[in-house]
Amino acid sequence: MPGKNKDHLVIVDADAIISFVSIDDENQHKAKQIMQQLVTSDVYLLFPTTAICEAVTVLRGRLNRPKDAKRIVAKFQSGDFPVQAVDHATLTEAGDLFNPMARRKTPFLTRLLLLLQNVSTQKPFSALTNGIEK
Amino acid sequence: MLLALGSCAARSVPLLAQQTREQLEQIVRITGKPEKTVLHEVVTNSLKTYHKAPSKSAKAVLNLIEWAEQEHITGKATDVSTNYNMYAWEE
Repeated sequence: MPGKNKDHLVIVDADAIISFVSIDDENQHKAKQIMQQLVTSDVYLLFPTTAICEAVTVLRGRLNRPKDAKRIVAKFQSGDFPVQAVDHATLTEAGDLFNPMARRKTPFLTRLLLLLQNVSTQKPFSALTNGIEK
Repeated sequence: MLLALGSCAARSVPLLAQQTREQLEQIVRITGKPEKTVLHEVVTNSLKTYHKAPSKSAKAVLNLIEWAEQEHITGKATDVSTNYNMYAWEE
């Protein structure tokens, strides 16, 4: 898994991806500021394939600019972005670990990736969502 | 002179520019601290301000943001990132 041994892992969710590429979005400025801060730190960003698909689907429908949506997909195909596939084995393990009654409402996929990484709760971890580091 | 004294601390940094040596000498005189201590403090404080190599993945995102700005990629709504679930499933 990419970034498995990194101390500072940020999982980028669909809403954050949207705020990166839609310049009129209300969270774009904040997201850019966060990235400008993160770029000088030893942080590792991870993009779940599901988040990319979700973001592009929304942008395709809302932007109504299919060519731009395709170009955004091409950016993620370039290899510049660490991508985490969510395959059958991943989902199976997530299902075993998932607790629907948990108090903390961490997104299922985020929790899944955290668990798969065996990251202890003491280690820094965050999910970039809505342009806000949570 | 700091480096001319041949101290252990001075020998460890033989490539210092003359101006830097003079600045260090001045600090030694002003503070009255040993050369070794002054050198240690200067290096330690400099390291605190030294930035690490940029995160490649974060840099890639910044490049993506700059690309979107240059291409002026925009949509009809400004709340897409906030309400993306609604846009994805309810429209």
